[in-house]
Amino acid sequence: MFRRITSFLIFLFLLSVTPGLYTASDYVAVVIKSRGRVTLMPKGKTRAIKVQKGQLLRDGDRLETGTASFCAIKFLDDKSLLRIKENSTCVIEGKKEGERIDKNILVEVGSFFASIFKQRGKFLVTTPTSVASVKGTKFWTIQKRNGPTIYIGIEGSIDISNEAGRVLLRAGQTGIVTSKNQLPQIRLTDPSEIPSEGEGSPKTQILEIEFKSPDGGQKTMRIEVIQK
Amino acid sequence: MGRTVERRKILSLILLFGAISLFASGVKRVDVQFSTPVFDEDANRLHLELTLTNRTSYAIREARVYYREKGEANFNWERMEPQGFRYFAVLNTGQLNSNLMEYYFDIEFEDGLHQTYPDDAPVASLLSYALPQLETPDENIIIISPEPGEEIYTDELIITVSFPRFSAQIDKERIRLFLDTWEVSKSRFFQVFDDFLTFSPNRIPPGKHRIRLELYDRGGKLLARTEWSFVAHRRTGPRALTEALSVSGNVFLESRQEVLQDGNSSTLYNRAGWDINGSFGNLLFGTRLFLSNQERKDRQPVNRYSAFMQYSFWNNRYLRVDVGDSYPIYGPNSLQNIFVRGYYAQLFLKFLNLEFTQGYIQRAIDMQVPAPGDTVLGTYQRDLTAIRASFGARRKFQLGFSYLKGIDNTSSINGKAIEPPKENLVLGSDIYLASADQRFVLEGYVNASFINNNITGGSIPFDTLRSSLPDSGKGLEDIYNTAKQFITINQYLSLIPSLAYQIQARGRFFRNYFTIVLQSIEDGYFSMGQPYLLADYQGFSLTDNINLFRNQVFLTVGFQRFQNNVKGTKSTTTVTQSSYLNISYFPTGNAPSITIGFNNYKRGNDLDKPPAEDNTEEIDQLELPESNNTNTFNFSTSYSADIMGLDNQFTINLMSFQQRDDFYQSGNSNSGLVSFITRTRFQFPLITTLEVSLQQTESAKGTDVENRIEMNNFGFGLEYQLGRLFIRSDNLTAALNAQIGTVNSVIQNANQSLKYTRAFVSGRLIYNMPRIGRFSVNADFINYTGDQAYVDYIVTARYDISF
Repeated sequence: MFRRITSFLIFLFLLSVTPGLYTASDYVAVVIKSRGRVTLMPKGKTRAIKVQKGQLLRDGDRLETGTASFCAIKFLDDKSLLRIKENSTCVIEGKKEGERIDKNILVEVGSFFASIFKQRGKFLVTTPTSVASVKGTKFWTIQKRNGPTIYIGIEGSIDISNEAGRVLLRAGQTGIVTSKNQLPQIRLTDPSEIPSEGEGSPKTQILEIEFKSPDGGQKTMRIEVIQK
Repeated sequence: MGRTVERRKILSLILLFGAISLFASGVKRVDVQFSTPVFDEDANRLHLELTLTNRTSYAIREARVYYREKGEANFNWERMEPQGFRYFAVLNTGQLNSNLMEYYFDIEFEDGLHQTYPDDAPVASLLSYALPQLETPDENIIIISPEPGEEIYTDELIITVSFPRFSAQIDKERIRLFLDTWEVSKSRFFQVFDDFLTFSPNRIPPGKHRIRLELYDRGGKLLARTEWSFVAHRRTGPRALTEALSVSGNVFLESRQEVLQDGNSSTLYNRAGWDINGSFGNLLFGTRLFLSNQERKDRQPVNRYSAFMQYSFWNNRYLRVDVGDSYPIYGPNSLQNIFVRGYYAQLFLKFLNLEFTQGYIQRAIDMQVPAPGDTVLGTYQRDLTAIRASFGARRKFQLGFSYLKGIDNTSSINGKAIEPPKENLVLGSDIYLASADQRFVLEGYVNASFINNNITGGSIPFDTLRSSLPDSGKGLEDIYNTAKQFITINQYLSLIPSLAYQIQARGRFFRNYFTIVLQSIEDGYFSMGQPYLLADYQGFSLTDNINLFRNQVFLTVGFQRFQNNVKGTKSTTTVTQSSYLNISYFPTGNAPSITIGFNNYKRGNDLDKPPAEDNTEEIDQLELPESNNTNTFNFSTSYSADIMGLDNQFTINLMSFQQRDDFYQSGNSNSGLVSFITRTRFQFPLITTLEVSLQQTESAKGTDVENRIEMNNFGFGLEYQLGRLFIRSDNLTAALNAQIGTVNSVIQNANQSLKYTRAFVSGRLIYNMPRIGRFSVNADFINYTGDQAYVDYIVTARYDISF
């Protein structure tokens, strides 16, 4: 009898301390900014919904931005950021592995900026021509419709691979992949190629205008403006 | 033979007196009654309370609690607030990395003498407390948006925070999220899931906002808390940030009448003070004042006053100047734990930082001549100048160099002082290295101290020095002239410096937090900036704190070994060794928390037998053999239960103490303590407490000084709060606490006994009206009956206002 009670108590104790018995939600990311026409097609559905800030994303959700539109999402495990520019389409894949989320952005078309700081799970960007594997970096992915993929390294390094092999893209370099059977071509980035980040956070700028009177007096008007 | 037996008897009697005084305070100045600490989980604060019964005419100047996390080498301290016979301190335990905290109390009297509790703290014994630890927010709470300091538009706010490690533990219904003072977790825009939450309002006002998140477990215990801020701008343009003047602080007035020693000592204490801080743009400023009618020229300062001003440059760089009484900290071996009256300036530029301190640490006291021909003994003013230059922001790296000079000012008094004037020079260097995530930290301090124990008359002329060292060349004169600039050179100067170092490594890996400390302080090492440092002390300490089962189980294991005779100049070396294990279980569900601790303390020297029997010379203490072993076991459990709508908290503490001495049977001692406390919160504003404790100690069993002490204590308390007396937000709190205890001390063979009863009653009335202030009246009454019979009481009236 005593052994049974002891076994039961041990079971209860283990139950109370075993984290695996609890389930977490199946959301993997959240939309933190959304401007213009941004739609979401949940996995397995045929009807798109309009996306607003706060929209939660599951594995397999498809995001699409229209003209003059913009969207930014953050992943829930390590706050990795993905900015999606206008006329872009991608599928957000996120597989939960314990406290991590292994992420894969399936890019169909458009311009995407990824910023990863304290990475927890894997972060991949998959395009029709290649796969970019990322570890703590900032980079652009530009996918032309039925055309090449352009990667632009801003910080850190990116491992780009396809059926032809793999190359390492560093900050300040641009990699162009024309097909999945050809190795990426690496060259130095022309700054004019880097897309603007789209609608970001407000940045304060001070504009000073000096006035001079005929008698030599001088006054300065200071105007604080927000850069959009 | 007879002489040895005599010595043993004397030693036994000393030990016996020590034991009795511990409990009956026959020898000590104050009788210390220590209440069980109360931990406030919501605020992450530990409340400590002491009841001090002063048996002398020497007033208590200040009571302090010194505390540190287990494994640390240095103590922090907090001043205890007096309320009648009771002294209170509230410790912020949120900054502690370890689950186990150790602490002791220090009581300073007006004549400068100190008494500690426990008696042999901090060298041989300390009190400890197992704390339920909050998770480290930066690791376990991921702020997705807005990020700390982020600037967003007013219509863009979405608060998203994930906490995957807490998904199994948190009670979603208890999560509290605040945007400024608004609890948004009740809002319709708030959504919570197992491992994250979001709050997405349409729009918020522009300006700076603060977010606070609190996560609780299913038992209502606070698991983690984090705060951060962000700025919201209107899309049409930013609102100019006004640099408004902001001032906050508190002011108090207090009058206390103490009638002690059965009415033979009556003292009125009047005190007042303020603590005011403010900011204006990049400027921070503040002032502190403490005034007492006990301030007298023939005592060390009781009044305290200080003011500071700090101007912040860019990115947390600043210049700060303190004038008045300040407590600068340069390092554990040089300047710490002492107040300096003067000024303290700090320039913090990260790549280069400078600190400068100048003032006095001891006031000059020129005693009046009581009668012609009497000896006049005073105290010199002790001046101190200290400089520290460092490189690095102390986030990942800092290298520092320090210089400290202390000197007794011989012209500060007219007569002679109790001790000859001294001069002290301490040079040091320190280094701080840490990984970017602060998971690994290495700190080291090395100091060299020169002390001149009598500088009367100043430096001796070089010719005199040369006459005693005739072979010295020109080089010696250069050295003499240079050294004379820093310290007085005469026959009392110790030419070889004494060294002290401390190296500490801390690491946080795989839910372990370990600390390794190496420490060495040579005999003769002395710093006027850290006068209470124990010298001739060397050894190491290892501690590991391990969090298991999602922060439900905390394990602390440690070992430390220290010895004296660092230079090997003494005939014997005494080694103290301590090993400890503490395990605490703080369940996430509604189950009792349990703490079990074991501590073994050994002390011994390398002598294996008492001195020769025919030795007729005076016996030095160092010649006495020493070998003792002390085991302490403690168990405590606490349980919160809702019974018939009453919120009850039950706590049981058990402690067993066993000391064995291999050479002197009279040093053997056994002690046991049992206490039970229950605290009940009713559905109306009434809180009751009930406390029972039983303690029994048996010492020197089997010897002719065998003794036994029994202490029993019973206490109860009531606290009731009435609201809305005159306005909607005022309240009146009435509290009554009473304790009655019996002490029975029996010396078996001497047929001596001491039996008395101690009754302690304390009443409190507090009226609180926001904006107007807080008025309180406190009356404490102690009555001893039996073999010790007397009555003491203290009445205090106090007014506080915070703004």
